[in-house]
Order: sequence, then structure tokens, then C-alpha cells
Amino acid sequence: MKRKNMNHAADILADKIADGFSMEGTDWIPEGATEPAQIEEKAEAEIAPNETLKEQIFSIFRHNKVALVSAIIITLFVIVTIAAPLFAPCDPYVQDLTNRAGTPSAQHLLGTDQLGRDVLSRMIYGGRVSLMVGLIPTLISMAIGTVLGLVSGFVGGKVDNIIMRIADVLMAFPSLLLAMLVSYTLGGGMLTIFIALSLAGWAGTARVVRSEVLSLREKEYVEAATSIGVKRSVIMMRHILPNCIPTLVVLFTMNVPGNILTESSLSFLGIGAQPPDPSWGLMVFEMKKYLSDSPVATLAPGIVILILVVAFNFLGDALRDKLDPSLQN
Amino acid sequence: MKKKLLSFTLVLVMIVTCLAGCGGGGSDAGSGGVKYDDGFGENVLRITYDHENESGDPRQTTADYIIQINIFDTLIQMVSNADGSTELKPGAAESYTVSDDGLTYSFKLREGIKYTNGEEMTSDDVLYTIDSMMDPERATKNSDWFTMLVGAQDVLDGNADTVEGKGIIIHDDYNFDLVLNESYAPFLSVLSVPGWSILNREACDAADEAGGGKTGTYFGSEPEYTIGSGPFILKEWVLNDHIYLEANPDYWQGAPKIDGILIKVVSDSETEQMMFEKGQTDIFDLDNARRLIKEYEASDEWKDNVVHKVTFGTMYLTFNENIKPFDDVRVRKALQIGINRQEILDSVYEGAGVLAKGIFPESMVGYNKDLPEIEYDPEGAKALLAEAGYADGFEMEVACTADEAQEVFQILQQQLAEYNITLKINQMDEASWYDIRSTGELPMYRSTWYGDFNDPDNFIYTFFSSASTKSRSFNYKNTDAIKRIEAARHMIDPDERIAEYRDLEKIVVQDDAAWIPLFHMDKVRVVQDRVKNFVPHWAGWGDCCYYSVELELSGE
Amino acid sequence: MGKYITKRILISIPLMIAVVLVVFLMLQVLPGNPITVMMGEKASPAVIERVTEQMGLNDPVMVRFGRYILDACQGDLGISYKLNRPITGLIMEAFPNTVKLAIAAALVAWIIGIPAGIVSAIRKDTLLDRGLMGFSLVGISLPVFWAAMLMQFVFAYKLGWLPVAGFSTWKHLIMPAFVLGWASSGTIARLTRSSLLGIMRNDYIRTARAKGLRESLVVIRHGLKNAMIPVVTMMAMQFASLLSGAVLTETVFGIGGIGVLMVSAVNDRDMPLLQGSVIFSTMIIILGNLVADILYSFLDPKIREQ
Repeated sequence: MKRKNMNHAADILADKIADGFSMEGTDWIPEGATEPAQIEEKAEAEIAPNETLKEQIFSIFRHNKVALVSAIIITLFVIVTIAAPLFAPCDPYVQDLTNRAGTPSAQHLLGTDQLGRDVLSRMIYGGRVSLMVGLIPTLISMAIGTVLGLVSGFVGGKVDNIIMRIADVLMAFPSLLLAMLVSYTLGGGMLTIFIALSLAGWAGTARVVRSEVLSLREKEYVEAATSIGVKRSVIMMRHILPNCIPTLVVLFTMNVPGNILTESSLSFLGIGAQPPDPSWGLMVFEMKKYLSDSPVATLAPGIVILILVVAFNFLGDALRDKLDPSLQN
Repeated sequence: MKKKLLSFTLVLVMIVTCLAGCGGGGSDAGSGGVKYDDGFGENVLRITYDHENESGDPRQTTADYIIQINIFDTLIQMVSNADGSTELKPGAAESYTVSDDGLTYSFKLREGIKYTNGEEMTSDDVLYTIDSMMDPERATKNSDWFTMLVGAQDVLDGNADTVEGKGIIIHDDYNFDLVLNESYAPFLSVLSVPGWSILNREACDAADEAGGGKTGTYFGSEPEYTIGSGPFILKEWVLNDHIYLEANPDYWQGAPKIDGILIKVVSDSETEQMMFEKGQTDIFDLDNARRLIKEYEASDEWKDNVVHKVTFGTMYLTFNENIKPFDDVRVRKALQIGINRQEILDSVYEGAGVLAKGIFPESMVGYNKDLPEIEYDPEGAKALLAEAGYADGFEMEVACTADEAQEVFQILQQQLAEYNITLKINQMDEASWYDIRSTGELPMYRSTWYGDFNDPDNFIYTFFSSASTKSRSFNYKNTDAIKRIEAARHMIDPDERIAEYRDLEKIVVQDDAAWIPLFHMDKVRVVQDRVKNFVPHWAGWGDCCYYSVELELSGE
Repeated sequence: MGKYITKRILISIPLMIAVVLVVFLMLQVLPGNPITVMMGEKASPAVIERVTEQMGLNDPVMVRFGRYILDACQGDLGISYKLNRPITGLIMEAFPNTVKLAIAAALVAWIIGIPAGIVSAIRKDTLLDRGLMGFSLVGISLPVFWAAMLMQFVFAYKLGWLPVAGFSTWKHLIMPAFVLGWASSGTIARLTRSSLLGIMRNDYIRTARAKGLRESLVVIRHGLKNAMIPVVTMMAMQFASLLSGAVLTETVFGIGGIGVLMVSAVNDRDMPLLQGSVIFSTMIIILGNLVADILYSFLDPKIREQ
């Protein structure tokens, strides 16, 4: 294995951190990256050439029931929140000030919140926020990270240096604080949260992709392509990027729960979703003073955050087991 | 692979069990003697604060006065009577006389008031208090209480070094005159605010020297250097954890009955509640936990321990007259009568307060009982809106921080939907909120003003003087009323002055509908059985003097 | 080795300056004036204007930045606008709390994480393995603020076993340390497990096994030593990030640490305090990573030889 391109334990450990590590993302441990050492191994193993990524993923679900259950849970969350009006028993915005912080009843299965709104319905609508925050900023930050990582690894030299130093600053900077600063500057709201999380999250991806590129660059077929004068951009798109995809899939499932948790933490701190729009973190924050009166209504949003994040983590875990040969016997 | 599934179920089961644990019945606060886990003795009053104090230096803060009120003396004290009215009492000044033109106030200091560094309070300390408050190098924040003195503004602007011989004329160690630029009726009341705490020159100089100058002074932050003459002494300050004020055995009115006051910083009201119910704190301020008021009043254990104090303050909603359609008095009036204030009071504040009629609270000097009530009248509001051409409603924006104001606005959102008015809530952080407000561009917001001293000027001038009406984002357009408000503070005849304020209040609230009065809130606290003689601050502030408090000890 | 360390330290200097600049520029675009927040409701326009001027907040950005850097180079981080105290003192007062919390949380993480990882690896694919990994995964997935709230409610309020908040005795440490430590233990356990499993495939382990040694003995005597290299490195990095402040945990449990300091500095627009605490916490992360690097290269013979 090559080590000359690594100047950080962070690099060396990256994948192990990605092992669900961005989670302390609720507090601030740098967002994780993936360990090149293992990825390189995998790359060298020319991952299961007879199996496409799609087949691999399907085989995971065939063999790993936990992953299957997780995937089903996530799918259910997606369906229920997208079709929220069909599932929500009440209008999530209608107040009933005579029934504030009400305990569960036949009409309000999980009770009502501080303004007498139906908690279950608000949770169903609030899921949109969490899922959107889980998916969109993750996609954006990974797109940025992938591009910068590709450029950094392939072009090298000064460009590489500049990009990686910026990534260093970002990763050393407390991520929750960064999100606070961005959202105070741009004003509250979902868009701001997207921007904040996208800005904070790309560094990890960039670092992983870069180290992947560094190892792929030395591959015979890439060298061959270079020697016959194929354009760099073509090599990047045709030979290198496709080989990064399994890693990116794994990274994706691991970044999603991190972002969901960060959003809920921000909402809990009063930054993020704007009232009256529900978000799970905001719901916990608004209801926490009613914990002893109405524990169900207060705890429920926290439980769904936990279930969704656990499901994503189990899924990511299973993908990682499958796509990362170093963990297979 | 079944095992994996099993383990997944296991995890779920674990979560559920953990949750089930909290649904179970609660064991309440242990009976019998409480053991304090904070390391302080039993005869110490324990209170909680939801934030850290800025400074104990009266020159450096306008936000927190708990330290100042308890460790310093003011020349005059303001106290409240049983009926809620207020009274001025001599403090460090034993007696005073006022000249006929209302410009010169002659004081005689009480002899033998000792600072805890052994110095005696003299006229020179009063001079020092004024001069250092006006010192431009210190960037002081409480200067507004001093600028009416002759020459004070010159010192503040850097054009003079002292007010001696101008704003203050010293006759001897105990006798001095304070001289005003223009007569200012509420001046004596002003002398009772914590900003007018009399500081000791030697102590402050020592603190400046130790901290490396006027900007880095240790005064107000380092207990050792924060010397006062009041009933308590700043003894310990562990940042974001606690402040300990120890009883001053040599206090000129006699040592306090308690050994000290422990002020714990606990940012979250649920934690405050748990600590109080476990007996770890003695007084629990329900401002951040108003939903508990009813609960405590209904519980056998606490119902006799709930202390209500009507605040000397008014909660209000603003109109920014620069923003359409609030330039139209009919729209403002429509909102004033079209909002169901009682519903908000009951839902957000548990009914602990009264609906406000105007600007001034009931215990205000010259309170106008005859000011008409603002009745909730949805039909009238609809008619006014139609008259103004907004029968189909409009869109409006409101601004709030992450406090209970957003609940108020969510309820308003529902109420105003009836008039087809769409309300957009813009929640922002406190610093942005204050900043935008100071530029005059904040849309409608909700806030509360607590009086500093008992005079109408302290309320109406704050909102509707020419500078303030912009910096508080009212942008009130009635220039005639503004001029009268600015002139009224200098009127000498008390009866004329009161009549003027009554008229002005009516113009602002009834004729111009420039703001929506909401409530005069109750400050509600619940105290432990062992706390005796607790006297809330006369204006219902959270910061109060605990000199009178006695604690019943377990007798071990 | 020495050369390597020097190089790493030199690299981190521009990094620090970049962090300072980033914070500084962000505060320029951030709406809000520290004076208006500080004075709150009682603010009068004249006083705000005067104090803003007197505190030099009206000077151009670059002037203020230059002034700040100059002072900082002389070890003077300034005075907090709001709390009116030297920044160094504020940080030094908050840091011990963060250190206590970090040590306690790290201990929890290690005591749970390492044995769990080892047991999991030995009993790979058993119910125990899955259970332990599931437990660690829940720890990672837990919303900290929610878990903290729940624990306070159950253990302090309902059961009365532990104090609710505050930070004066070791009992106060238990809940925050557990919440933080559980999350970190997950990472440690999973890393220990995967690292151990990776090592166990090596030839020399097979040789040991062939000798007929008991599996657990093989693991402990031969596998663990090498498997712990990345784990120790991870532990160092994790510890550093714990030392840099845990905002949510500190907020919920009312612990006056670096995290709380940073958040209140942002909320109050207290530039010197924010700069100081961010520099401090970033420096700890950078130092922690450096220590991790050194540990790694020290433990890993392959690197040491280079």
C-alpha cells in the first residue's frame, strides 16, 4: 500500500471514522471520511467484477434481514411523509387552545402539543423536513466533495494542496457552530439549513474521493489511457468516477443520519425549522417542558428520529459489509 | 441471519423498556431534611437564574442587576406598599431638599456607612460614581441616568474631566447638591435605580489597577475587588455555574438573617423545576415555566407557597408605521380590536396577568382609571378593514426570537386568518432581532417593558420619543404628540404633568392606535416552606434584594 | 520523526490563521451588534451609538482584524464584550469542566467500547456480536439532546438517584458522561471489531491457531496488539474532539464548558470570546490529530522505518 500521499492520521483512519462516526455530529467531531487503506484494498480486489452494484445491493437484501427491515422502514417513512395528507389524521396546523398538551386520546393518538395541535399529524408532516434534510444536503455536499476530490486527486500539486487545506479548516472547525453562523447570517428556514449542512459536509467526501483517485490513478488501465493521450476529463469520468461509486453509496448512507441528527439538534437549539412548520427536533424542543404532563407527545418525535437514524445506520452498515471486501472472510 | 433480525428486535425492545421506565409513577421529592449537594450551608438562600450575569459593575450592564441590588446602596430606595403603590424612602441619603425651581437637590449622607474595604461613604464617592459613569474610556452603559446633571454630557463627550462644581457641589463629607440642566420631575425616583449605586473611589481605583486599566477593570467580575456597602458581599463567582453573595455583618441597617445567597445558573426551566421540587433551590421563578402556575396553585403541597406580584410593566405588540398597510390608522385600529387578547393570555401565560388598557400599569403614579377598555370586536375589525380597502385581507410579517413570542404569533396566525390576513412568522436569533429593531425596520413584534422607576416618562418616552420610536421600530408619525412627550418630562407642576400624560396615553393608544397593549403580567414564583419574609422587587423584576429573607432551619 | 512533527506543526499555523480569518469574516456578514444584544430592552439609541464608537466597533474591518491579530500574537486575546473579563481567563475557567467531562466520557467510551469490540470479534456472527453491535449503533444514532432529557427525567426526577444539573460532585458527571460516552463507545467498538477481524486473517495468526492455541488466547496475545493501532489513534482523535467542547451535552446538563462558551459567544456576537474559544477548540483538534499521527507512526512499524 502506498502511504506517500497521506499526511494525516485522519486520512489513514478515515474509513473507520466513516463507520457511522459523523454521528457525534450532534456534538462536534469532524465529519468522517473513509479509510483509504481499506478502500485501496478493495480497489485492488477489483470488486466482484461479475456482479454489478445493483446486483450486489439486491444480494444484500436477500441475505441480510436487518438491512431489509431497515430499508423497509426507510421506505415506509418516505411513503408516509410524501403522502402525509393521506396518513395524517388531522390538519397539523389547526390549533385547539382548549386542549393544550393533551394526553393521548382516540382522536389524538399521540396527544396534542402546546397549542393543541395533533402530535401524530405534526410528526408525519415533520418527517418531510427530516428526510429532506437527510437527503438533499447530503447529495449536494457529496456532489461538491466528489468533484473537488476528483480534481484534487487527479490534478494534484497546488490545486490539491489548496483544496485539502480548505477541507482541513472545515474539518477542524466545529460543525454545529458553522451551521449556527451560516443560519444566523442567512436568516432561518429550511433553505438555510440545506446550505449550512452542504457547506459543512463536503470536506469528508472530498478527502475520501481524493484518496480513492490517488490509488486508481496508478492502475494499469488508467496509465494506459493516459499514455495514449486520452483527455484527463474523459479518464476521470469514464474510468475513475465509476470505480468510486460503491464507496460513495456507502458514504451516502452514513452521511444521511448525521445530517438528520444535526438538523434536529439545530432545531432543538431554536435554529432551523420556522414555526408553525413542524420538525422533529423543534417538536422535542417545544414540548420538552411538558415532559411530565404528556410524556408520549414529548418523547415520540425523539423516538422517530432514533428509529430513522438507526435504520439508516444499519443499512449503511450492511452496504459497507458487502461493498468493502476487507471485512469479508 | 435470523439472529440479526432478533438483535434488531432486541434493540427496539431496549428502547421501549427504557421509555416505559419514565411512564411509570413518580416518587416525589423526598420528605424530611434536604441534603444540599452544592457544598453550601443550610442557612443559605438558593435561587436559580436562566442565564449568566453580565457584570456586577453598575456601569457595565443594563440587563442584570441581581448583584448590584444586593451589594450596593443607592441614595434613595423605592419600596412598594401592601396596596401595590410605591414610595420613595431614604437610602444612603438620610434626607434631602429640593429647590423651588426643581433644579437643585440637596442631600445629606448617612454617617457611618462602611464599604467592605473599611472606607466610609462620603460625598466624594458620589462624585466618583458620577464621574466614572461619564468617563468616555469606560464605554459605560448606564449613563442615561446621569446625563441630566449639569456638565455630565461634557465629560461623556470628552470635553471635561469632572462634574465637580457643576453637576455636583460638595459642601463637606456628608452634604452635597446635585444640579440639573433642566427640571426633571422623576429625578428622585431615578436615584433609586441600580445604575445609581454609589461606588467607592478607592475600591474602584484598586480594581482598575489590578485589572490593568479602566477597560479591563476587575470591578464587578473579581469578587475580591468588587467592593460595595450593601447587605451582601460578592464572595464567589464561578462562571456559568454559580455566584455566591455572603451576608455583610457590618451592614448599616444590621446584618441579614441569612448567611448568604447562592445564585445557580440553570439555563433550562425543566431542570430548574426538577431542582426546586427536589428541594435543591428555595425560590423558583415561573417566568420560563408558566404552565406550572396552575399546577402549583392546584397542588396541596405548593398552593400556599405561590407568590404573585403584579409587575410594573406592560407587554405589547408593535406596529411599524413604515410598513404598509400599517400606515393606515384604520388597519391598526382593526388589529387592536380584532385580536382576542384573552385567548393569548390564557393559552400562553396561563391567565396570570390582566389585559392592558393603555401604556401605563395600574400602580403608576397618575394611572388613568377612565381610559376605555379595548374590547374584542371581530365585526368592528372587519368593518374597519373593509373601510380601509382590505376586506380581502393582506399579508404581514412578524418577527420573534425562539421564545414564547412564537407561540403568541402562532395563535395570532390562526386568529387573523379570520380576516384573511396571512401572517408570516420570521423567527431569528436575538442579536439579529435587536439589530434590525435598532434600524427601525423590524416588522410587528412582541415585547415587554418593565419600569425602572415609578414615573410615566419611563414608559412613554422610551417608545415614543423621536429617537426611540425609530430605534424600537414603531416609526410613530404623530410629531405633535412626540414633541409633547419630550416636553412633559420637564414640566414642574405635578397635576398638570399627570393630566398631560393621561392625554398623551389616550392619543397614542386610542386615537392613533400606535401600539397594541397586551397585558400587565404577574411575576409568579413558588417558594419553599422554609423561606420567610420574601419581598418581591417593587416593580416585579426577577432581580430583587433578599435582605429581608429569613430561613427556617431544620434545627439540628 | 522530529522533522515530521515540526513539519506538521508548521502546517497547522496557517491553518489557525485561516480559522481566525474565517470566523472574523463570518462575524462581519453576520447581522447583529454586540452592544444591542448586551443592553437588550433597556437600550437607548444614544448609548448604543456612543458605546459602539468607544469600543472601536465602527472601525474598518481590516483595522480591527489587524488589531486583533497583533494583540493575539502578544498573547492578548482581548476582553469579552459581554462578560467584561479577559478571554484567557474565561477559557481557563471553562476548560477544566470540559476536561472533566471529556475524561469521564472517554472512560465510558473505552470501558464499554473496547471489550465490546473484542467480544464481538471473537464471537463474530453470534447473537452476542449482533447485540453488542446493535447497542453501539444505537449509541451512535441517539439524538444527544433527547437522550439527555430522558435520562434527567428518569434518573434525576423520577428515581432521584442522580442530581439534575450542575457540576460540583462526581455524581453530576455520570449522566453527561454516559450520554457522550455511549456515542463514542459505538465508534470504538466497531473499529476494534473490524480492525481485529482484519488482523485475524493474517498468516501469523493462522500459524498461532495451527499451533492449537485457544481462540481467545490467539486473539488477545497476537491479534490485539496490532489491532489496537488504529483504535488507539482513534481514541486520541476522539478525546481531542471531546476536549474541544460538547455543545449540546453541556447545554442540557448546565455544564459551563468550552461548548457553552462558544454558543453564547455567537448568540451575543461577542467577537473576542468567539475568536478565542474557536481558536482554542480548533487548536485542540489539530493537536489531537497530530498526537494521533505521531501515535500511529510510532505504533506502526511499517511507518516507523521510513
